[in-house]
Amino acid sequence: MRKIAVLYSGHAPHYRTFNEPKFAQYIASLIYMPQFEESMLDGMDVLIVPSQLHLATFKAIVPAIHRFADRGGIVVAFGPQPEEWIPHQNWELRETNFWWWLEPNADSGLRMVAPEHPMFRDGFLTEQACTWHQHGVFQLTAGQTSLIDMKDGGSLMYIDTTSTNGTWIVTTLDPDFHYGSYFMPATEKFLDGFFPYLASGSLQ
Amino acid sequence: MTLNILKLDPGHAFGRDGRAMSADNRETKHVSVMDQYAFGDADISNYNVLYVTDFIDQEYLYTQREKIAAFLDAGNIVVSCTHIFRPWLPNVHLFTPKEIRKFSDYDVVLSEDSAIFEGVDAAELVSRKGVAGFFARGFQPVYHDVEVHVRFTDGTPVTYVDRTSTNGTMFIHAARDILSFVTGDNTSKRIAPQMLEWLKRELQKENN
Repeated sequence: MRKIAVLYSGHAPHYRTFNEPKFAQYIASLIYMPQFEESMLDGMDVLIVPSQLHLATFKAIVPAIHRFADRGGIVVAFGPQPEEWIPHQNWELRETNFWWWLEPNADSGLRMVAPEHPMFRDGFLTEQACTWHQHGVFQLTAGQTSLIDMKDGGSLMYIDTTSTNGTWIVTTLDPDFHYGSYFMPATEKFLDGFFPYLASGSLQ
Repeated sequence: MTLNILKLDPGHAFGRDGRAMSADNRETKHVSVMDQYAFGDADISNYNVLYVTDFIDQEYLYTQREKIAAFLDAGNIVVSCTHIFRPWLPNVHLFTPKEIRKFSDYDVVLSEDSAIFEGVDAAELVSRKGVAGFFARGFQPVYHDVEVHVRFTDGTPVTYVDRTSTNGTMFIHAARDILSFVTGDNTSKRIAPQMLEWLKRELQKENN
């Protein structure tokens, strides 16, 4: 089992999500962000950077996250990214498509472009578990591999094993917020699969 | 007395994006915005309302609970729009999720005496485009005498006012930023201006 650390903001959605026992069982270290010290990542294999962090506090610890990745760590990023901190980050904010499923011939826009990836092939996640709404997309560069595309271009989730010595799993999805807000059941399905994947799934 | 609201900014991405679903952290005539972590060292004597929203760091607020209690004891108002999981306010019980078996379990009842929710259609708060659950998903339980403004149909309070636990007034709202109900094409946009008028009247009461 990989040892997973999570940055914790102290707000209510994060409190619920990361203290829910079925997810907390996978979390070796819940790091309250204002008290972050780089040594807290010692011995950790994965660092989850959830959405909706206090950005000014977060920016100060970004160099430590890059050093963690350069030591071979796995960094996971959830949600919209108004700050530049992910290697070769190219975030495109889009109008959130809250209501796609009420439209005629409803199409979530998700395109599963890597069904052979172990995340999907080995049954951790399905398209349905990744489907609610999106706040934007990432435009990718060489070395970044999309796992899920959006029909209008850009990536909903990608993996980057080349920019650092580690692995970056980046998604615009923000299940940490929605589950913690008691809203949108698909986000629970996502976390039900994603935590076990991070703990034991094959990276590629 | 002039209404001077101190709104603490959680500094998160939704606030930066200015998304409708987030707390709006822009300054207005009555609202000053301060980074949440500046609160501990700040002189708050010029303010009469402390206002927190759903992305606030409650671990931090818990470290500031004595300052918050002193602010209340000075006769001021605290407005909390979040799911409270740390006891950073006096005599407030921790958030409990509503048990939802069917969509109508999200339904709420607005008090006819509430000036804040006057003229608001509860159904427009709870549902958008036929989808239920937008307003509240739980509550802070109460075991003492409070003034309930919004309750679920089973009686549990979503929004209440506590005038007895401190020398000040606590407005406890187990949902999203109540001042964000200011736009839109239905009756819910009445809430924000009515909330500001309510705060002004409360301050007059405190100072009479």
